[in-house]
Amino acid sequence: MKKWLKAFLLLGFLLAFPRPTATAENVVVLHFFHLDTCVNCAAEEVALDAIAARHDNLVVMKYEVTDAEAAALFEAVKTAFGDVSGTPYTVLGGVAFSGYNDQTGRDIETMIVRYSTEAHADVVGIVAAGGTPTEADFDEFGYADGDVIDLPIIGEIAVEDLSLGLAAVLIGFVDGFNPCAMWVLLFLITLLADHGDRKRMWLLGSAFLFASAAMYFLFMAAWLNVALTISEVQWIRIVIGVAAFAFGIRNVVRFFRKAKIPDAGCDVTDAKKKRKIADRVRAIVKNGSFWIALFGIVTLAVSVNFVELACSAGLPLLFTQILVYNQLPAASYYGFIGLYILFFLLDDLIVFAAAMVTMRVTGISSRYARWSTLVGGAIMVVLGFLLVFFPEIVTLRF
Amino acid sequence: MTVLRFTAVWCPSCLIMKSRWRVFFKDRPDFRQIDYDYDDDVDAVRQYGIGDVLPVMIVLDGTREVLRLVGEKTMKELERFFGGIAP
Repeated sequence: MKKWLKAFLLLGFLLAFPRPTATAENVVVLHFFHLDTCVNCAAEEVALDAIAARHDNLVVMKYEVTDAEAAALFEAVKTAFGDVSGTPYTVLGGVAFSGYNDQTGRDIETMIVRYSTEAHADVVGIVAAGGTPTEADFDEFGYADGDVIDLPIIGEIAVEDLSLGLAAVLIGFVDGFNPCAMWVLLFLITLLADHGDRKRMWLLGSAFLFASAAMYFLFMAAWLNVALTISEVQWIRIVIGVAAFAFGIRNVVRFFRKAKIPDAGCDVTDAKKKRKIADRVRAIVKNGSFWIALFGIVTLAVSVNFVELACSAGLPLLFTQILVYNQLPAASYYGFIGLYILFFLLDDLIVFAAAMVTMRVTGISSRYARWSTLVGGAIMVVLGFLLVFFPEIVTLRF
Repeated sequence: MTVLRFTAVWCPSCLIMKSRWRVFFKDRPDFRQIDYDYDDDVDAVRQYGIGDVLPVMIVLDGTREVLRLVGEKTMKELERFFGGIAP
């Protein structure tokens, strides 16, 4: 008889199998289906050892699925969960985790803590005993306030801050499609690409993006501090809400008006102003001194992004306002602003990176800019409405 | 036949269309291509009545305008519009 099967039978006596009742600290059984050749399985195995060392009530059952009996059990368990995943596959009570990364490890530990004091069924146990788990035996993994999840790029974030983080990502991303200042970056890298000096292109292009981000950050931080001092004033909240609502309606109307025109392209507005900026960019690129060119690029980015702020028609202001109503620690305010700016610059970063790799510059279609007008407008309408009538919801903490 | 193309340095759609035109006209050597800058070539802009949206491409048969395309067009759209024009 296989080692794991013996251990299983032993566990049958130890546990109030199949449905143990809650005690001060339940024995929690973790079933780990793995392959010896699987890299993620090896990583999870190491993590499980560390987790087991922290939880005396945890019993880890390991099944190497090249073994025929283990494979049969694996298939039966996956069928019970309605899953088709491969290894690593981890089951705790009525919850299955497919695959492994650091977050999975954290989630598994969250479930161990929960099951330590909560009654739960052992679905693998039921299946192994030839039974069929009922609907009540399955459980759902959910996050609670205070839990922390680890997101790629962004890092660790508290669950209660997640919706605020999503708002930063969404609003920042939509704001970034605003075409007002992007053409300057495109024109700059077009001229630099013509010179064929890749190093200069990297340095000056990055300087432009970095200065743009810094400028936007400073603006939002400044507004944050103003908003923090006036956050208690009711009528200011209402004025901002009404203004956001009005701007939003204007953008939505503009989208539908433009939707009637089939030719998506660049609108000829402020052509003279744009021409002046283009001449400035040419002069900067032509300048033989790298340092003078760098200084020129930074000052250009600052001035151009003033234009961008007016173009954004309030999305960064509105997002900052939402942050204020959340009454966060100072570091979190700036963290969320940073996240907003990262996604605001995402399209510029993609265009820049693509140009650097291919040495060929392309733009982002005006069609996307059109849609961003609609989405941005709709966001402003909703948030403006909430600011006026339901300020308690505008914190976006769901 | 002659193709007149109006673009501007500040127009992302023009950048997109420039790369599409490059591919599209590669196998169409019979078309004479002339590029105008919206800001520099003011006379041509006025002469051909270029409106408020860029880029603009005009196809001339002699001096007669046979096609005008405004804004971004996909390769398929270009194929379709040029389908009826034989140089």
